[in-house]
Amino acid sequence: MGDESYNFVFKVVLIGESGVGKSNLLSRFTKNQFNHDSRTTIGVEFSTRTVQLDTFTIKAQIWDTAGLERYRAITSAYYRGAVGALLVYDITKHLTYESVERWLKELYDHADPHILVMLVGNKSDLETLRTVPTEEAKDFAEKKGLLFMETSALDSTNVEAAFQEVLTAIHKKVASREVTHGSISAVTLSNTTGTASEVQEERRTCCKNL
Amino acid sequence: MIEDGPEAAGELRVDGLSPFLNPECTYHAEPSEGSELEKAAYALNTKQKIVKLIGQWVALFGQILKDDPIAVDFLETLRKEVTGDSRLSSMLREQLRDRRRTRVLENGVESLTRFDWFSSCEEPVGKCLPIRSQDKVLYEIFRPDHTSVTLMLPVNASVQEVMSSLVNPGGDHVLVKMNSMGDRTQLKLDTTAVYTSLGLNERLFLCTASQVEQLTPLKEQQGPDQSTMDTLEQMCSKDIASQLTNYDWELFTAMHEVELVYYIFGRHKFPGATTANLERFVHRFNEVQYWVVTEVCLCTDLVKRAMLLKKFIKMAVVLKEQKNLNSFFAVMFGLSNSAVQRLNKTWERVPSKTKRVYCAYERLMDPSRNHRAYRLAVAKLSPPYIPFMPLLLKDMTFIHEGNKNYTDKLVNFEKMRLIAKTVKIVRGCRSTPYVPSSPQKGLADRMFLEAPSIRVSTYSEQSLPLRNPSNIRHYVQNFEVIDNQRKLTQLSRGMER
Repeated sequence: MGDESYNFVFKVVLIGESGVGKSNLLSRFTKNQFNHDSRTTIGVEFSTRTVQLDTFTIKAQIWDTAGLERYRAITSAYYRGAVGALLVYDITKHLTYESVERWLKELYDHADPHILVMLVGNKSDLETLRTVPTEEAKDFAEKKGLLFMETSALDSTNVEAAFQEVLTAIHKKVASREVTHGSISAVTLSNTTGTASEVQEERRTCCKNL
Repeated sequence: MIEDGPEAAGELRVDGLSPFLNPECTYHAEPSEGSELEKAAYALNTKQKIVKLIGQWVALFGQILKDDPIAVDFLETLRKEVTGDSRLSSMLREQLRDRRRTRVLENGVESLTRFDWFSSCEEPVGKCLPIRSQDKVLYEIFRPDHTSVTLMLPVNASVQEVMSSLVNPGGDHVLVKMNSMGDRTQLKLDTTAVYTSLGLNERLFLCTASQVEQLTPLKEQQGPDQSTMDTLEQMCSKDIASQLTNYDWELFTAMHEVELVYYIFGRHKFPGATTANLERFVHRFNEVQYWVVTEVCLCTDLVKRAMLLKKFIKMAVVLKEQKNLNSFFAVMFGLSNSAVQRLNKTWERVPSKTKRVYCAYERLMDPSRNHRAYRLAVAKLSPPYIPFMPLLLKDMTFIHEGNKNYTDKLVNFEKMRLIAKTVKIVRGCRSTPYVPSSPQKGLADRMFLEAPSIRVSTYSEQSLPLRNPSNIRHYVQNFEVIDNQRKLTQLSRGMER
């Protein structure tokens, strides 16, 4: 908690059909599973975690859109300034996979064109009920230029790895300056470490410019 | 549990009625020790508590309990029991009468011999009646050639039922849901209540399996080609906002608070439950939002378009003043749509004062720190007000997905209380009845000067029939919108490069 200095803030959104386990993935990653302390402050501290990549400290802000699936256009407000997205489907519900393309379309309609997207097949613990073959999803991801991983929020499989991979890829993108200046609004590029409030402030200014 | 009163009553239905609704195990409970007198006192006390709780439970769920055969049966059994015991029935009558007195003046003498659990439950008043789970609604189903059939079917009808009323079973027909972009979803036979869950400009199609790939969206799904600026120009923002709010209140009151619980936990887990009213309200939000985007993107005249932006911002001011946060945000999210935001030339023409108001409101939409800005603002409001529904649903989703229903086979009351707390926000919003605003000049008029076209007051009501309330009401209830973001962006680009 005391660790408030970091080099980058990456905003990542969690999207996908309702019931695919978006919030569970998030709570797994942020290790803040509605225990006694966090229960009354749902979503507040629930959504950030600081990770170390090489010599950099990165604060990941993860925005969950759970419960808003029927308000498609509202979720677009969440896309603003996002540099990464986890597009989640449920490997046991084929319909949630079929709608991936629609989510992707929507994401690209509203978000930064350089946004990094990972396709996530959740609930890999339910192998016997699987209706979406791994290879099929993998091929699709490759064709669309997305990262891909299968996870289980229930037994923690690959959750950490999925977020790490996304954050690393964003970091690489930023470091290699592949991202043009105008589209890195949520990332603080300064080398000096800032306090939380400073970064917040900077982010806000950027949002206004959008 | 009985001590908890209404809150416990609210939780009763979460895990099904049946275990509780067995008068044998609760109502006829007896202590194992103590004198006969003590036993009798204990029994009476327990019975009174139970009857009181059930009274509260009925008051909470109201008429929708009548759709549940188990509940109806239970209430009838208990009514007979209670009628046989004068101490209980007089207490219950007192309770029911008390509640009614606080609402309306009694007229006439009440029957002393018979009571009705539902005597103090009222249907919400308004032109928009609640949809009950037994109700039939109009389904419109299209064929591949775009002809359609309409039929009346129960709101909760399954895909199977819809299909069997149209084609002979055993064929290879399928029911498909398609949106304006042409995205198709083939519906499973056991899916229910598909009609009320349709998205904006989504339609149902019936075809054979081989025809699915050839299905194309209807012309009407694409939305209008022309703006309604001519009509809009003649209506003042305040009147439009008032009609939006009146309609919203009708839809909002028609929704029972328990629909939120059904919606979040999954309607299928509650036999006979409907979430149609909540879904209608969700649908309305999307409709208002896309109405704003559509109108702006179809208005090709730059000067008029700037006026339109100003008009929508002014509408947002009034909506906020009327404490209609749902439509306020719908208009604001419409204005923040990328197709509208990118119209720099248009925004340049909006007076800076108006723009400042817009920017101030934009901060309320900021989702950071879990919508802190909005939560702080709403905390200051007193009822009646309409909350920003998406956030309530998001909160409930988090509570539901993050906490188990049972821990060690015991109901997780901690979770149920969190759910109840959110549901109670809705109750709080409606705890004072909404009174439609008078056509008096409000703060909004002082903040903004009316646009010149509206300020000219030499017109009579007759020469401007569009300004009369029933026409405005008709207008706001019949929006035609484009919900295809690609198309909206295209239109926007066509107007300003």
